[in-house]
Amino acid sequence: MVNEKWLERIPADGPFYLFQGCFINHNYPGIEAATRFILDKLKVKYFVSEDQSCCGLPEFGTLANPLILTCLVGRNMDVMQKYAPYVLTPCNGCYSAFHTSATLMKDPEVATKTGEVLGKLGRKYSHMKIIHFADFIYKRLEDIAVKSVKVLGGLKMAVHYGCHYFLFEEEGLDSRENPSFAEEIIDRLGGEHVNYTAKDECCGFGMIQQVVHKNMAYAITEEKINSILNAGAEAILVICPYCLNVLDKNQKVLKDIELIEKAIPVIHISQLVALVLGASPDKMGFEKHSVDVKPFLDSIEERKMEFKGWSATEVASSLK
Amino acid sequence: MDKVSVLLTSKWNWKLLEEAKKWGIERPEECLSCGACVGACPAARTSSYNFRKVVRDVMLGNEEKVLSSREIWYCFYCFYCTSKCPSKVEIPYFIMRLRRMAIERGYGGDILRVVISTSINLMERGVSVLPSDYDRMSPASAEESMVRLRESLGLPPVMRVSEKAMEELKTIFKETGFEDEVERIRSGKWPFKGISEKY
Repeated sequence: MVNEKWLERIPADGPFYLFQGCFINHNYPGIEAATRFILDKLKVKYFVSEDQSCCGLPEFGTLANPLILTCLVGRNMDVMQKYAPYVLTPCNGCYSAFHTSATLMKDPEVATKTGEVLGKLGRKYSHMKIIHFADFIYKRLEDIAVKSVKVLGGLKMAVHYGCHYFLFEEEGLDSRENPSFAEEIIDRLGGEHVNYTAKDECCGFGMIQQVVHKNMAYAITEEKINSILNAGAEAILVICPYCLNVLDKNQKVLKDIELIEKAIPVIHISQLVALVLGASPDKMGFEKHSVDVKPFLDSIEERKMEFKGWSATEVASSLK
Repeated sequence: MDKVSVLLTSKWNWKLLEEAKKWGIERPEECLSCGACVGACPAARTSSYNFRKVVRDVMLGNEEKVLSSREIWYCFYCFYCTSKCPSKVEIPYFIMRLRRMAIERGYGGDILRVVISTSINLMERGVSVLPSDYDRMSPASAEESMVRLRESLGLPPVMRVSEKAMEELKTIFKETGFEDEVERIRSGKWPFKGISEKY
C-alpha cells in the first residue's frame, strides 16, 4: 500500500538539486540522460554543481568509518541548499547515504566531531529533504501517462526495488513487505507486472560481498533470477544503478555457466519512462548493458488512440 | 537485584556491548534469539553466518572471538533482517560498528585491501567510482571512451569536483583520519592480524 502522507510531501514541480552520483555518471550515463530528459519533458527545473562530491556511502560500507559519511553528506547538503530546497536522486545508494547519515548523527560523539570538521571549512551540517526519483515518477504518473507517445506492449516485467530504498520502513512511499508502486507504473504505461517470491531479496551486491565473497553474491543473484524467470517475466525493472549492474552482469556469467536458463534485460525506471515519453533508444546508454535489451525495445509500441489504459478525456487533452 | 537476575546476568559482560552501542544503535540486547533475521538473511543461506551467535558473544564479552572472526564480514548490509526483526534491532549498523571495532584492533586487512579502490578514487578525485575501475588495463582510454559516450548522449563530460571543493574534501579526509587509514591499508603497513575462519 502506498503511503499517502509520504506522497503528499513529494514536491511535484521542484525545483530540485539533481544529485550527481559516481556510478550513474561513470558507468550508466544513460540513466542520467534519461533522468534529465524526463525532467525537461515535465518542465521541472533542476540544478547541478561541481562543488558537490560523492555521497560517501561506498566508503562507509567498506571501511565502516562513520565520519567520512556524515562529513560528506553534511558538506554536500550545505552546498546544495543554496540551489534548491529538495535533492533528487535516481540511485538507492545516494538516497540511503542521507538517511544513514541522519541515523549516525544521533550519536553525540559523531555529531560533535562532524560539526568540528565542517566548522573548519566554514560549513555546518544542514538538513535537506532527499527524494528518490522513482517516488517523483509515481507522483507525476498521470502527467507522464498523458504526455506519453509510446506504450509497453503488454511486456511482462518483474520489479526489483533494491534493499536501500527501504531503509526506513515507517517512512517511505511503500513498505518492504509488499511494495507495489513501481508495478502500478508498469501497468499504467501498458506493461504487465509479475509477482515473484524473492521480490524483497538483495540483488547480490551485498555492499562488499560482490568483491569479497563472490560465491555468496552469485548464489543470491541466481536465486533471485530463477525466481523472476519462474514467474514468467521478460524484463526486470530496477530503481538503482548498482542493482542494475549486478543483475545485468551476473546474469551474463550465470547464463554462461548454465545456472540460469536465459538472461533477460534489466532496465532502470528512468530509462523506461524516458522511452515512453519519446526519448530515442540510442540515447539511453544501452551499450553499457551486458544482456541485450532488444527484446525489451521490440515490445515498445506506438501509443494508439484506443489503448485501454487511457480515458477519452485524457486522449483529447494529450492531442491539444 | 533478585536471585534470578543475578543468575541470568552473572556470565554477562557489558563492556563490549556498551562499546558497540553507538551510532544510533539503541537495543541490540533486545534480540529475542527468535531467528527471523537468520531466516531472511542472504548471508546465512550462503555461509555459516548467524547473527544470533554474534549478538550472544558480544553480550558475553567474547571480544577476541567476535572481532577476529570472518563472521562479521559476511553481512550483505541489505536490512532484510531488520525488516523482519520483532525487536527492530538495527543489525547491519551493529555489524558495521563491530567491523569498525575490529579494524581499530588491527583485523580485516585482507578484506579491506580488496575493497579500498573506491576510497582511493574518492581521495584523488572526490568521486568513488571511475570509468577506469572496469578497465584497469587501459585506464586512460576507459575515461576517454566514457567522455565520448556521455557526449553522444548530450551530457557534460565525466563528473568533476571543483578545485575549491577538493581542497575542502582534503581537510575532511585529514581531520576524520580517513586519509591516514586508507594510506595504511593501501601500503599494507597496518599491523594487520589475520582473521579467524572458525567460529
